[in-house]
Amino acid sequence: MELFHEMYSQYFLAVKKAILLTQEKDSLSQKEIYQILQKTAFGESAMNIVPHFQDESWPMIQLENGQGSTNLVSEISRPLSKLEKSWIKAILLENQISLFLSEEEREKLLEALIDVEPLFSKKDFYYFDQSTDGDHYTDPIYQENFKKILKAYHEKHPLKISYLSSKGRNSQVSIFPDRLEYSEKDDTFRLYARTLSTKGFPQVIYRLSRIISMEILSEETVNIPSGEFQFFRAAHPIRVALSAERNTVERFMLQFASYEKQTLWDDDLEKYVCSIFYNKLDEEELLIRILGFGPTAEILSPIDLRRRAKEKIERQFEMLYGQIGK
Amino acid sequence: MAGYQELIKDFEKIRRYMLDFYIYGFRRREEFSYKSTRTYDNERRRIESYLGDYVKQHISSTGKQFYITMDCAQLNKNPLYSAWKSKSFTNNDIVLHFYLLEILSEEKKYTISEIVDELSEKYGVLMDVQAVRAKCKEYETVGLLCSEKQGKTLYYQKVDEVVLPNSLIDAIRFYQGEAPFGVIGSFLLDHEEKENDFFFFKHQFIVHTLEDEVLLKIVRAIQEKRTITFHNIRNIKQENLLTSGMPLYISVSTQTGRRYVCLYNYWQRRFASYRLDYLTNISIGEKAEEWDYFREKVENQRKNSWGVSFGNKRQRPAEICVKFFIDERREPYVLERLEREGRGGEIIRTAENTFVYSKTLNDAGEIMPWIKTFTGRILEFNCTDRNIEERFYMDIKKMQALYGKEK
Repeated sequence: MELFHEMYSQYFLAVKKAILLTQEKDSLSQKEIYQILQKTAFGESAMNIVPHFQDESWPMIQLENGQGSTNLVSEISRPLSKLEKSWIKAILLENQISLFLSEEEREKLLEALIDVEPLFSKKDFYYFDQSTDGDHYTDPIYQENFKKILKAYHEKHPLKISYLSSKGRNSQVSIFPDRLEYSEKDDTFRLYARTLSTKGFPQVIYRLSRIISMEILSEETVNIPSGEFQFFRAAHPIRVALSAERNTVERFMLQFASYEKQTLWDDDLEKYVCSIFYNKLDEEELLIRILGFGPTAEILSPIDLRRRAKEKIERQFEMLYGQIGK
Repeated sequence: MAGYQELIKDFEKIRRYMLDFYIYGFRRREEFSYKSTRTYDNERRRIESYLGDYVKQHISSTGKQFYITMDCAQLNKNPLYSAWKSKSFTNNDIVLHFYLLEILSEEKKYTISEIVDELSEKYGVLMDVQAVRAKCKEYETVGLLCSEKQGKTLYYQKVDEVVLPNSLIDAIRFYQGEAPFGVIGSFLLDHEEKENDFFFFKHQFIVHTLEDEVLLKIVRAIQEKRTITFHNIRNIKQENLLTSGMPLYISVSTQTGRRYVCLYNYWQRRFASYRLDYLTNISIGEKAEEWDYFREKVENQRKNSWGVSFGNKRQRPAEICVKFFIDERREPYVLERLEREGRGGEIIRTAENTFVYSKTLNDAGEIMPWIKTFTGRILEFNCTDRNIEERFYMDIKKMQALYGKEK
């Protein structure tokens, strides 16, 4: 089973969309064809594809006098490939699938894929540094809450939730779900939502495992203006000087690969300096992870973060060697 | 640029460049030494075409750098999946794809000759019988078509469609970011003309998808309990080392982004781990009769591994023992972190606000980055591997010297 195959390609997808749109409208202008190709495929694709319509080497769409038509009349649909079915079979056997499907739905799909081998099994993967206190996916209440969140999101209904805070207090609040964030490292879901009871719909984040109960307020619908969730981005990046020792540069770049960053050579320091742009809520985690690199990664700025690193290191030095200066 | 094509024949061509632009974005053009600068220019242009604004450039006195960067926590889909959607093809490939899907869309079976006639009479498309036969065979192999022999005549038709319920589409939206081979989830969303706008991922290593072809072969070998042979490109020396062994499982670090195949190396007669991003040219070999035995053995041995190292035959496992100061009343979360991340190490409260963590490890060097994340709390550090112990104390002195300087 091949992963790299043209039937999955952006070109095939773009041409399919162009064909379907041409069928819908009977004919499409060359400009409209360009637009759909540019939207669906890669940056230079439209100018590679359109000549094939013009010279009829791809006769699915014929371009004449600036207008495109197609001799294909059906809704072109490709069956799922063996590879795709095999992947679906594999995820149907994952333990988190119960968050999405009822047991009945799962059994029905497994029956439809009875002749398919699963592409992979998680028992062949060993996540050696994943947190051991992840969410409890087999908990029926957790599963029910998860499904309610999806339903509320799709149908645009608010939710009334009962939530246990980190201080042990039980709160109730009406929210609209914005997104679910999963962390493989922590094996947890966090719900990003907007509070409906406060003016301006402020943004809040909840650990899904702390939501005790949930009710869909299906008599109401929500129309919150769409916009980017504000992620409390720190005003300045963390700048870290990286030593060439212990393969630090490669290790650091990979470990923080999920962050937006820029790495430049600094002639004065004779080191690479990596600037990490981050969410302020992640600051403490970033600080301790950078300290994990020891003396080969030095925080240069922001000044406050460098000061906090310095305080930890001084405290550490004194614990092991006695007071500094003595 | 003469000969430049937006699409590619071989995924390996773009894999290395995309990985390097993403991980080593600080390198300049002339530092990409493994191919010519013209190849660099072509690959850079392709990657810019696929990834758009995720490719940035920086111009300095020493030259231009191109790099891929993005905040992965804000991505609802992995932009690197576009590399998997860039396979080149012939005119016949794309023409036959659409016309076959239409001709075979009715629930009717066709012979090759009937398909050729239909193409010509209904659509004015002249196609060689051999080309149509080859495409139908290929599509049968990948699962789009099925064939049936009636007497001496072979008939083709489309396989039945599988209808995906909305609940499964939601699952695919999630698993395209979380599961192995998530790019297939992306193929499925494209197929269903759906997008993911609800599931996001923290600590996401999008670069893993570049190893998916390597991983696919290894996973297959594991499932079939077979051996593999591969080239191991060690980044530092740029050497290709041919290695063979019996793959047993895949190790994944959710914190550092590295993935490894753990296998039994026949020549060295021990367990070893190899990074997936260093592997190419995987070949699957014969069945390994002793697979189950080695799988059980390695699962026992890894109990003393912090990460992926099985240590050294010449060295005994090391004992590590760390005394921490943790304010029980004000910092219970630190103790929770010690328990949560300690990977089964023993934790004993020896006095008020004082806890001792201990563990036996095949390779104590692997635990050191984690120990250092508790900088500021370590009252004592002891390790039976004296080198590790000395290095820890030296590192703290070096860090004090580094941060003690005014900046």
